[in-house]
Amino acid sequence: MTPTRTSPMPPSILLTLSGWVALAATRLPGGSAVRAVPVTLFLLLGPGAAVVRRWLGLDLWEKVVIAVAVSTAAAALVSEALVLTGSWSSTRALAVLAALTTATELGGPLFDKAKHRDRVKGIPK
Amino acid sequence: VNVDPGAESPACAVVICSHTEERWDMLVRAVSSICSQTIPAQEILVVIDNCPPLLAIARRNLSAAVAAQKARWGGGPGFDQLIDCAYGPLTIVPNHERPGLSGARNTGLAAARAEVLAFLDDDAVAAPDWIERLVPLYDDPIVVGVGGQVVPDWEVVRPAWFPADFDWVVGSSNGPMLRSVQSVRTLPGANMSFRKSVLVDAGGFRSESGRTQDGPPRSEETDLCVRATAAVDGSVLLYEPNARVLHTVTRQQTTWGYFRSRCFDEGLSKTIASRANNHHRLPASEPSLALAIPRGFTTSIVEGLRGKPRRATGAAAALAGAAAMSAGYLVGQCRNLVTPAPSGAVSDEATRSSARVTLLPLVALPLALAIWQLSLMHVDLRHMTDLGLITVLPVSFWVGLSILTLGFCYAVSHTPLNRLLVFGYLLALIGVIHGTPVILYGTLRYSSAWRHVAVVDYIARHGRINSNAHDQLSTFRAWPGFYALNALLTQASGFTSSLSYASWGPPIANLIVLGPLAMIVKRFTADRRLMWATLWVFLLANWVGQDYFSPQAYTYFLYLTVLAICLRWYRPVARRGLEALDAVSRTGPARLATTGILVALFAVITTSHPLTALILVVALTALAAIRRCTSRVLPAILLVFTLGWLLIAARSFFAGNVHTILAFIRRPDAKTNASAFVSLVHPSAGPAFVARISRAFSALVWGLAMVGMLNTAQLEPAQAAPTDGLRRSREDLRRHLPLLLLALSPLPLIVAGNFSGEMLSRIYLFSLPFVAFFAATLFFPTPRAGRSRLTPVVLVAVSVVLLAGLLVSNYGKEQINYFSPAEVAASRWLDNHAPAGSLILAATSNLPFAFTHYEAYDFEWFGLQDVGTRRAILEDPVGHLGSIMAPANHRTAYLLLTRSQAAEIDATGLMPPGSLTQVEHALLRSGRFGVAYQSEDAVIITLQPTPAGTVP
Repeated sequence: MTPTRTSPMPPSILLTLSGWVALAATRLPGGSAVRAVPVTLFLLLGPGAAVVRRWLGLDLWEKVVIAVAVSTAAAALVSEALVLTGSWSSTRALAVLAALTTATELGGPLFDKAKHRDRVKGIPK
Repeated sequence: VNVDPGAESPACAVVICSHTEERWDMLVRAVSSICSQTIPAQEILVVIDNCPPLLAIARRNLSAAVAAQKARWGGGPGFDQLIDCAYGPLTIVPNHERPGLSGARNTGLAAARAEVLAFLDDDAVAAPDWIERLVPLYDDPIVVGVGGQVVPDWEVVRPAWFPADFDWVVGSSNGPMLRSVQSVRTLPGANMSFRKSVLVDAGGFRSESGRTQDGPPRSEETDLCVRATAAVDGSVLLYEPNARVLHTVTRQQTTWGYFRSRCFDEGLSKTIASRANNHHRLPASEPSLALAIPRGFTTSIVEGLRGKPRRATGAAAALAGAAAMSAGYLVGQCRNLVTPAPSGAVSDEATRSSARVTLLPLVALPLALAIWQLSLMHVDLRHMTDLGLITVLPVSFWVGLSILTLGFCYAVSHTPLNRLLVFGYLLALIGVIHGTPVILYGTLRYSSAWRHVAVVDYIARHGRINSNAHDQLSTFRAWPGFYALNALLTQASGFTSSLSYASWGPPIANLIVLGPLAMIVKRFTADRRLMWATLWVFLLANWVGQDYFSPQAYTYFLYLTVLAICLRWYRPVARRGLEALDAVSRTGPARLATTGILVALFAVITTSHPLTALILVVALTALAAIRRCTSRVLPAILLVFTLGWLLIAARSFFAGNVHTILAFIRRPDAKTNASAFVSLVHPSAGPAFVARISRAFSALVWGLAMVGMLNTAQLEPAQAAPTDGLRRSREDLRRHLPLLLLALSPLPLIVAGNFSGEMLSRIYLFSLPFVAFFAATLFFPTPRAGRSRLTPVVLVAVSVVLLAGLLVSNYGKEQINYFSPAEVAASRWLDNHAPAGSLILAATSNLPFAFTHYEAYDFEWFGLQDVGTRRAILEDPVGHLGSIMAPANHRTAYLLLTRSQAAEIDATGLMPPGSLTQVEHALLRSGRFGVAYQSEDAVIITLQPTPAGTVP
């Protein structure tokens, strides 16, 4: 990953909240598009989008590929972990993913700063 | 070269161009500001443009004047702190190139030796930390240019009418709008820097759009920024607002006339820049400006209403400026139509004729789709023969597909290539090939897909994996990744079952695989035609049918994504120049994050599909062995994951039996793919023909790849200078070596597995992306080759052959893979009526597994017994089946016979053709059995006639 910001990128409100919106949508009755669309979009793109947002130099194509791969992988791992520990529920899994996405978004600026420190280490003074 | 990036920041040269002695004082201040940087410039190049008197004065006096200026500044008039430090050699050169700013800058470019070139105007002063802010950003190899904020330094008081959002008129950037380092599309001309190698590759500044002494300034910067980013794939330009330059605004620049003409010129120069780069569409105005005008206007109106007339005049000026820009843009567009474009750009004539021709594929695409949709209305699936779906497709289907093929081949070989259109063709091909069965059937294709749906729905219902030892689907227990993902997706989205979307598995799987495949191909060629052709060949050659709703289809996507990430971010890099683009430093948070992502992907692959994990281990090891992947830890991590999961999680399932594990790895979902390469022992004629075609087709695709590879190796030296022909051909081989290794990396499976057709088809599938690349090089071996009119013709011819092979191979087993609604209804009837603990007996497992509570039943397949048992059953069906279904074993037992089971029996030669009908008749004649349920494609027989089922 090669983010290049010296001043950190602020978190995106949309991404920070996306998981919680999806979680709220699960309260709606099944079979409605109002529920299926935000939940599916979040599971397929949400966590990955938070990751690729800080990854400069990607074109749209690469952003989508990596966002889908990371999001579905995160969903699979969280769901799997809950299944194996016998505590699976879709609400719980969604809450964990929403928390992960929010943490990635809010913790992102810290990552940018660390990244910058790493970059400037080699500059001759 | 394998050099550690991030060791030190590159050296920086500063180029200052001046063209009149009137600006002597300003020039001295500009040079002095560079001599007072916190990080010294390696070189300071003062280029005197076409002004011998200034050249003479500068050579005589500049050094002394700069020293005096620095002494005067002392405490610092413009900036708080000036740190005195050694500065690089000051060089004064006359402009050797064409007169004008572009020529002067190109002179500086030719003279400079440093890796980074920063450009400062002679009427500007750089902040002391200017270089310190700009240069570190170049540590990131994808950065090709960095610019900063231009702060206006008004010689006279800023006019009241001057709109705030038009500061760019006087050379200032829209700085305040961007507060942090951002990736931008253009850099401000008064404060920009570039990698020297990129500038050279992009051809330097273009005089035609640059400003001359007499004329007004034009956006040569915009033009250059577009060319620089286009020259390097995935590169970015950064805007660092803290790298500031103070730019003088003269009295003359504050006049209304200057404002108006500068706006006009800005509009005009946009058309010049967009004409010279007609492959890269430019907006009519700066992106920030498009927002700034309405925003400034509304603010001004509001202020005017509040009784602040000064702001209101600003609104009028902003409107007038926007009007002048639009006028300039229109005039430029009209000129473009009348006069031919200058050299280096595609001529208008060519542009217009190309516009005419691109219209053809543009029309062909919707036409093909419309014909395809209409063709599906006249399909009767009941007439399908043992050659599969192709036997019922009407002529109009083939017409639609032919138009699609012609359109794509035309569009991909056309210059300039229309990316969206070509992508549209690929989507349409996926729709036609993999969407047709979905639309026609209305039921889920492939019995394995039904099984996967059952496992997913079990997890969604119970929140755990079925631990029943007699579970029919227990083989899926140890690799729950894919099922857990879909259980979450199903339940959270509010679907009653994953059956709601599972039918769309093949189109979705083929679509998502294109993403990482394109990323991989882009690493090996800059020729976009070759990339699109690879995707096309991949889609045409992917006949294997492993793309349905399954773990292997999902992990196949992850497999390619992991390879794409490794090939791009774990490649060895040279420290300097373009090759340094795109590296991840060996340590630090960025590397950690990328590795973390890969480890997460590994974890999912390992716990979803063991075969994919093993092939990926081999592939990554091969890449690490030739040092194309700089990390040796990655394949090791994956290997540990795979073996660890096999030993720990899967151990309980296999009870530690290594042989069972190996057998499972060889045939992870045994029933899935029995049809991939049909055994030729006793099958009927149709399936045998399909099997032969499949094998010939696979061989053909590999053959095309080999010819493509040899062809490229032959062509390369011919096009290079004769002396370095051999070197070029070796280089080419070395360049494509990783792809060759990736194509070969699934081959060791032959050793690990058996030689069955199924394993061969898996090997074919995992090699296919890379094989498709080599096959595509047949059409576009080098960027210069494949430009003749013959190329699309050859492409069409090969595509037609591939399409024929694909449709016979992929659609050839549809009598088995298709389940009619009547068959699904029979399974559902059983699920509703059979009490828990019942036995469900069938000839083969090839049935729609529509058993919501599959865990409640036992299943048995009499057609899959050993040969002796099968013979015995055929000789005495009443006795044998009667004893299997006897109440002593199961309280109730149902025999389910369907059309698709009969098709599988016939196709594989497990029993003689017509056996199932004979069995059915024998049972019913005996009087011991009765029909519980019957429809056109299915019959359910019980030992004693039950009153529950009536004949519908």
